[in-house]
Amino acid sequence: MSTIANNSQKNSNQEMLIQVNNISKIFTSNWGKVQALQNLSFSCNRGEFVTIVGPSGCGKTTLLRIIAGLERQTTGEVLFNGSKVLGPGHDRAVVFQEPRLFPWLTVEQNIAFGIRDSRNKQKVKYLTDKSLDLVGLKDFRQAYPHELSGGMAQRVAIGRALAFEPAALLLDEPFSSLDVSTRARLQGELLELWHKTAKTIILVTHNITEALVLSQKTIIMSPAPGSVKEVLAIDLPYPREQNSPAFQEKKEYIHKNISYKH
Amino acid sequence: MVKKIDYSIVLKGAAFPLLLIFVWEITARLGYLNALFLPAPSKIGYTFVQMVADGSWAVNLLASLKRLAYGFLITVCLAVPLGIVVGRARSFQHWISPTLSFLQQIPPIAWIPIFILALGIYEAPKIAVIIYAAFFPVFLNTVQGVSSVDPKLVEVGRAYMLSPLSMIRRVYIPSAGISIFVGLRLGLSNCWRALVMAEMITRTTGIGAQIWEGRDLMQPDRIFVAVFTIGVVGLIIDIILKRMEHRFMPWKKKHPGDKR
Ligand SMILES: Nc1ncnc2c1ncn2[C@@H]1O[C@H](COP(=O)(O)OP(=O)(O)OP(=O)(O)O)[C@@H](O)[C@H]1O
Ligand SMILES: [Mg+2]
Repeated sequence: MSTIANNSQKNSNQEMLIQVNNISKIFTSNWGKVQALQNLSFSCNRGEFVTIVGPSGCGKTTLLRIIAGLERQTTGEVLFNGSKVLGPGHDRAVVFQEPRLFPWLTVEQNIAFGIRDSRNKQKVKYLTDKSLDLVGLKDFRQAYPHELSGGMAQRVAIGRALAFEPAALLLDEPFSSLDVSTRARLQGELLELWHKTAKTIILVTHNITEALVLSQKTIIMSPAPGSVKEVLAIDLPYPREQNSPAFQEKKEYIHKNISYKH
Repeated sequence: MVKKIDYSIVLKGAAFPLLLIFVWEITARLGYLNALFLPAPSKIGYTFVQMVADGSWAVNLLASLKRLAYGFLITVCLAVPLGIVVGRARSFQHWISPTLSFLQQIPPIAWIPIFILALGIYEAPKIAVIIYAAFFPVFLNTVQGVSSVDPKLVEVGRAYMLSPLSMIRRVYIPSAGISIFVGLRLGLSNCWRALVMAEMITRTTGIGAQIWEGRDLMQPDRIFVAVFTIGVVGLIIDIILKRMEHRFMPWKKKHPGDKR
């Protein structure tokens, strides 16, 4: 009995949630064409925490936007839970590089923004409270975005994504504009949140330490046009000890592999 | 969270008019002013009380306010939705904005004779003038507000699966809210002024008609009662709208460059 339960859990852990198959993206603008992504493939299991690292301009944001359904790939396909991504969906929530909060809504209303069944007051309240709690902003529920610090605003953005009840969270350098200590704190909070909610998370960053602190697997991208250079499993226990030899070793390995030269 | 009235500011604002009235009264009593066109304030006040008592003041004011309300409501129902549609379709703006800029140059009063010819002298031409007067500020500010909505916020709406209608209701309208409100305020004060002109020309009822009536009867005090009423009502309307703006848009308080 227990083995079966174990097995099924294991199976659900191994279940593939996101499959990026051989996608390319070419932007056409007035002044010419830009190839942002070239034959890029990777996959992500349910419940997995994956980071995408790579030099600036290698197409990380473009890749995330394609997975989110906000951008169309030129060729290739993205499968989410087995079905093709054709646009935004209830199963994915994006946290952009900037918080992008609605200035006319309070913290609480911003968090409730994406809740599907918005007429069901009880559900809205339940999900909002839960999200507020997860991102630690209970005392600020009535505040307006202009009254928040950058870190708090980003937490609201994460809370808004959580209240949407997605299967996967897609985060685009959510902490890049924050100072080092706030960043470290929010990284810790994000990990805790991941443990509590068991969400699948894909996080884009160009910070190697961030990738190592957070994820189970990191996709290392090559410079433009972006493709996967290497998929690196980070099989270190949480919380990650940044001074440990294993951590340092991985860090150096990525440094050597990731080319910041164009 | 409406602010308490700051009495010192009210006092400062009232000081100059009070002084003016005082000087006016004195000079009138000393016989320096021609009572044919500049009656003493006390006389105007007396006439005002009389007109209130016999009901003629309220009748005219209510007639004007009723037209204002109808005309303005019709304008809002036309101009705001149209502004939202046009504001979202950028290419559409190229097609109509020269025409609108041209029409905007023509003061509403210039159309009054045409409106009278087409619509008679009763309610219709006055309402038409009001609509014309208010349409442009409301419409243009709505277009401006909607077309300057942050595309990043629209994208959030898209990522969170808003339906087209919810997108308008929950992203476009609130984003454009400040701009729309500016348009409503401008539109309403335009309305009020245009209405008075229309009433003066059609001379049926209303505060504007009362002005001509005062002239015909050679009673300048009646003219002044009407003129002051116009000013005071315009002021009250603007104050009410400003208050509403603060009530509906509490997040606006901290916008830079926003006084008060
Ligand atoms: N909408 C667009 N139109 C045209 N080109 C674009 C567009 N968006 C991105 N690009 C181009 O695609 C390439 C990849 O951009 P992208 O924003 O995905 O990079 P990134 O890895 O997220 O960079 P960064 O780390 O600086 O955020 C760049 O060369 C960029 O100029
Ligand atoms: Mg980016």
